[in-house]
Amino acid sequence: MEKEKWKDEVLESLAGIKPAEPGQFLFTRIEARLQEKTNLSVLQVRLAAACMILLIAFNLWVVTTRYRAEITQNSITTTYQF
Amino acid sequence: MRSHEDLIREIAAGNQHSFKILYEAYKTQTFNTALGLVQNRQEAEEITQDVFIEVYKHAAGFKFQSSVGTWLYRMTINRSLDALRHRKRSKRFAFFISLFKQDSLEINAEKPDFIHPGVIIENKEKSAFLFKAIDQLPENQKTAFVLSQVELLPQKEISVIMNMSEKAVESLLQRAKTNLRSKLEKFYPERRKS
Repeated sequence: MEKEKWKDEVLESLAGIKPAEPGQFLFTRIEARLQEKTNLSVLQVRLAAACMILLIAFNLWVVTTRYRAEITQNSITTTYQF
Repeated sequence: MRSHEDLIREIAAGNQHSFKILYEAYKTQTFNTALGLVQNRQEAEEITQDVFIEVYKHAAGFKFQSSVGTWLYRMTINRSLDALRHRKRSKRFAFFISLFKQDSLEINAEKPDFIHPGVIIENKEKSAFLFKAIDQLPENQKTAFVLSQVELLPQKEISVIMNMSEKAVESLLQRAKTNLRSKLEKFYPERRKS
């Protein structure tokens, strides 16, 4: 019966419990994390924009290079015809 | 005085001051619930941070179908249970690795006894056994027991948070207590055995 009494006491051991409080600087850490997320989002947008500009510039370069190559090819062909 | 629902609307509009007020209103509830479930101060503080960051990010999407308090309790419980599942998976993985590595660290070392800071001094030793047993309860029973005995919520409020009937909560708490009694069997101090 002593064991059962002990179990009863253990089950009752939270009587009078007070709530635990978080550390006093927790809100500062939350603010810092939110700021970090905001900075990251701006960075991500800039990175995406830079990638797009690079991609468009590369495509333009490919297109203009091929166009110039075709013009040169055509003028050589024309020269040989005469 | 603004209602907490008004604070949510203001936070949705980017009002930092309202966010601080809401934090002050709910920090104890959030931290204490997380601590009761994960039994680790550092993890409970991480979870509290995560919950309030979620509030800030999703304030605009809050539909006011429940109270703000209930919403925060649910987020806290979900994140705490996720943390516990992650802890279990990490333990299993570490054990699996240890089978292949001869010099692996001892992974079966018991975690230190958890003493809730709010427990009265004369009950601290016995409460450590109780929290050890609570840690082994199934998720639903653990949640109901922590909300009832650590957060001191009435069954009616627990039923709203856990989205079940009051009768179901009562049954969960009964089963939790029966389970706890059985788990306390192996924690009974050796020197007392007759």
